[in-house]
Amino acid sequence: MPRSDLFPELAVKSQSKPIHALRSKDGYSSSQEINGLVSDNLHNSSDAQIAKLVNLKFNSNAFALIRQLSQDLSAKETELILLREEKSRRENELLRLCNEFGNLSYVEVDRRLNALKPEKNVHKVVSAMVLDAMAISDSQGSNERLPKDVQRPKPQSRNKRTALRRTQQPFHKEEKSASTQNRKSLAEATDIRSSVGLPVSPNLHDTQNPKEEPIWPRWLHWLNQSEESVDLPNKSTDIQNKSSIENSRNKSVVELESMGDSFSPILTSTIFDADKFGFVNDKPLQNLKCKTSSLQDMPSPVESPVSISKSATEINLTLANVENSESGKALTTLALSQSLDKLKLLNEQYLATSEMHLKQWDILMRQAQTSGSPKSDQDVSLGTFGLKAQNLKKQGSSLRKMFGHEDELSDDSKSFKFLQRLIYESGIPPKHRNYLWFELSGAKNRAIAGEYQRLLANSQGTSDPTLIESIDQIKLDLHRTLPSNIYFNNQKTNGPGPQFAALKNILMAFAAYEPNIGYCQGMNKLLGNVMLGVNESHSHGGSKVSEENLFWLYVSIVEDILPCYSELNFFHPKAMMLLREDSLILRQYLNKLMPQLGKHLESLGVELELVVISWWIGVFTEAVSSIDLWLKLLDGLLIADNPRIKFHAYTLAAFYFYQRALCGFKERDSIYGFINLLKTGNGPNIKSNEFMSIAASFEKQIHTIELKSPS
Amino acid sequence: MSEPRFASFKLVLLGESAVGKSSIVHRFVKNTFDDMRESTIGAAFLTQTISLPEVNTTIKFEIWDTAGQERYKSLAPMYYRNANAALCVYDITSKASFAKAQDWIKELNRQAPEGIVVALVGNKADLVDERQVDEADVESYLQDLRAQRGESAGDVIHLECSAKSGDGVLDIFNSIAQALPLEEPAAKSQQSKRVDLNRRQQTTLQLGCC
Ligand SMILES: Nc1nc2c(ncn2[C@@H]2O[C@H](COP(=O)(O)OP(=O)(O)OP(=O)(O)O)[C@@H](O)[C@H]2O)c(=O)[nH]1
Ligand SMILES: [Mg+2]
Repeated sequence: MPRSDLFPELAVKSQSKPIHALRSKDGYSSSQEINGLVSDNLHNSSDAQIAKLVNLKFNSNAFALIRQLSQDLSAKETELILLREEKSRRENELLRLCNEFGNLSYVEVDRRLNALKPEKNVHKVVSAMVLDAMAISDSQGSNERLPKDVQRPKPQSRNKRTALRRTQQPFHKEEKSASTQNRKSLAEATDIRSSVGLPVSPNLHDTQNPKEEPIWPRWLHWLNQSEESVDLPNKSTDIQNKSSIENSRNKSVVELESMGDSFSPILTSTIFDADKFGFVNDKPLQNLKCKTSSLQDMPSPVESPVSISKSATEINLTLANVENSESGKALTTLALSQSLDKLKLLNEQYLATSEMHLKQWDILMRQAQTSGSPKSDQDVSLGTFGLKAQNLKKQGSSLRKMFGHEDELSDDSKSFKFLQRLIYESGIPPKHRNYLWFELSGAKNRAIAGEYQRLLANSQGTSDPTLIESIDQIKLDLHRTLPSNIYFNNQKTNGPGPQFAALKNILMAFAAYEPNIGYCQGMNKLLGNVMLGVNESHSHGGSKVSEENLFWLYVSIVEDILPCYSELNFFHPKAMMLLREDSLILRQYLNKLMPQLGKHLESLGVELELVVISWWIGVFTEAVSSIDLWLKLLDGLLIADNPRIKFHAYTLAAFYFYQRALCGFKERDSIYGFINLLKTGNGPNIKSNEFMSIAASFEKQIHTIELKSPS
Repeated sequence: MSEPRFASFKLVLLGESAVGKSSIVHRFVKNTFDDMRESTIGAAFLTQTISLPEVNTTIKFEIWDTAGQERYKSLAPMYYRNANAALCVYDITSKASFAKAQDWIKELNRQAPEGIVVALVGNKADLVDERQVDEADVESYLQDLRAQRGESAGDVIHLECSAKSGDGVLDIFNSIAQALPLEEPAAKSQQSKRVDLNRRQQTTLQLGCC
């Protein structure tokens, strides 16, 4: 295999004698210095040679050697990450250009790229090299290897391990320990992930990969991890084995004190290890391999600028650690510091983008709040933006003036487009969410003072059988709604959480408000998620939303934002059949837009409708694994012209991001199983801006597809 | 001794909301019980295999656990279409849920694929003090059913279980496995069962297109 063509530098190294690498770093070109002081092919050395090495160069301290190796490795990884980041940046830019000037959709570009045969499969070359290396070291009986549990990821070798595991692990694993909460065992999720070769670590992308996996969260995470592993070398194995998800989540324990006075004081203590949305981690002790999968569960930076800046300081700390530590000093080569600079630069770039978005939002909101409602037009909806931001499309809107194109009557939608772009690129930031949700959903138009109390009273003493039926079902579902979230379920006392009552009241009042729609399983999770979004907004300085207003927000979402089917409300009992018919149409879209996946699913006999229906009834709460992303999906729905098409577009986008995993499955039940796991929060992490832009591009294309009438 | 065989079957759970369908599945698949299980939205999917050493066969159940709310009823045919077995679950502490389970059996008789194995399952058997559905009620119902369906239609399996304690859950699936047609591939009649008894894991169910 002509490896040397691809990796001349590695080829040279593997011919050199191990100890040579240590002679003098002056004897090496700078590109080799990046690789650190210890030779890459130490595994080829005999035990005696290594012992000698330890004696001579590390003052008989084998730990120093290990540390050195580990540092070399991390330097290399840093470099890889940077390269990959650069590649992905260029790729994205190219995609954007193709999209903008070439009129090619992302999907189309991707399709064409996929059609290319890779000239050299870097992946294969590298894993073959790794395999070789391992084999050699095995045959020499050398015990000195890189510690298996080095905290930092080793992209190539892990891929290899994943590949091996794929063949070894059964799909289902019997779970013996009874868990008290509802979130499923992560171990199982990991099995699935690894069994499909989902990216458990960043990988050099083959062209099959539909989209780069987010990179930031992961490497920030490694840095955190490595920091921890340096600081806490003597922690019990229990703690070391704990999922790093837990670690990462603990860092963002929500400040419940700031959540308003309606919350019970018990929650303010640290009894619970809850994430920022109040989900309690009940993950059992994790075995090592879970670490790998947890890397992708970090919230994407796009979604939480706050946590990013925090992590950024952590990086700096870590970097300082590296520079201050003994062997670190020795290692501070030019290359490393260059890498660090680049890292910092990237971090700054990232922060700058999110800051820019925030600024744009701030400006928009400030303008909106000072300019007030448009007056010149009679039929505009209340508020500055109005339902679905339609005021922005209206003449005479003061916001339109603010964008300085009041006279361009032909271009009605410019300011709307501005809002749309902001929503797609960053989503509504938490601190503006409550205000904007209330406006865009049209809740502002709907709220009638005193009505909520009346409805609540109605629902209580009713004798109407349909209402009673709804209320009975609500009662059956309340304690089965987000049971792993502290706002709804107090795991400590096994009693209701502080927002349990609000959830119940709102669902009941809605059933009284719209007896024909009543209550439908799925509404509970929708409302629960909306409430979590409102909580988060409030804790970021967003306006406080009373239970009454929350009710109107919910009413508006259900009645004006969700799709209608033949004039029937989304949750209307008779709409269910129409929803089902619509889900058959999705199959046609999928076959057109992702033919490869379509064929694959068809060949396995997967009935897409079976899962799509559940996604839709649950308004995507079961289709994406992260609440952060889900909130962006709702943001997008709030300004959607055609919510029904938006539903299709979101569904297609989800399949687009799961495509790689799904195409890796050779059995139908693995596909269903993978999809089933999404609802437990164990799906792959997706960058919300990518999701939204893919969805937007699908939305455009859907209009061009001619449907075959179902026969 | 013949070669070990492998077969996979689609099984669907039907029954009123909160009778414990999801709990039964989780007991069977993961051997856990969770008081705080989320209610099912649409449907959920899980698989589990069991082996039948007597006939040297491993059986995989592809389980569709449906949501029980009445208004989801119109979706059920999507899930029992092509099903090889169905569990109609009721809660022994609720007469109403028993009536609902009977409705499901009726519907299956009319609409489900021929030869589907049906089990009538009474869950929450641990709640003895609150029992509303007696064995006698069930027996008389089953007798009526037999009279209606005639001998040829095959029997409805009846069992009680408790997803909470785990009692009886495995028995249900074992009984179903026993009742499923495991004839030799050669003896496979023109029956439209999409069951591949040959060793290979791939069952190439070709589902009729919409
Ligand atoms: N005591 C007792 N409670 C049970 C048993 N099985 C389930 N439950 C409880 O019954 C409630 C409903 O259980 P689920 O499994 O969610 O019911 P389901 O039939 O799946 O309900 P839907 O998803 O709404 O159709 C839960 O609170 C369970 O804890 C049981 O065997 N004994
Ligand atoms: Mg259920």
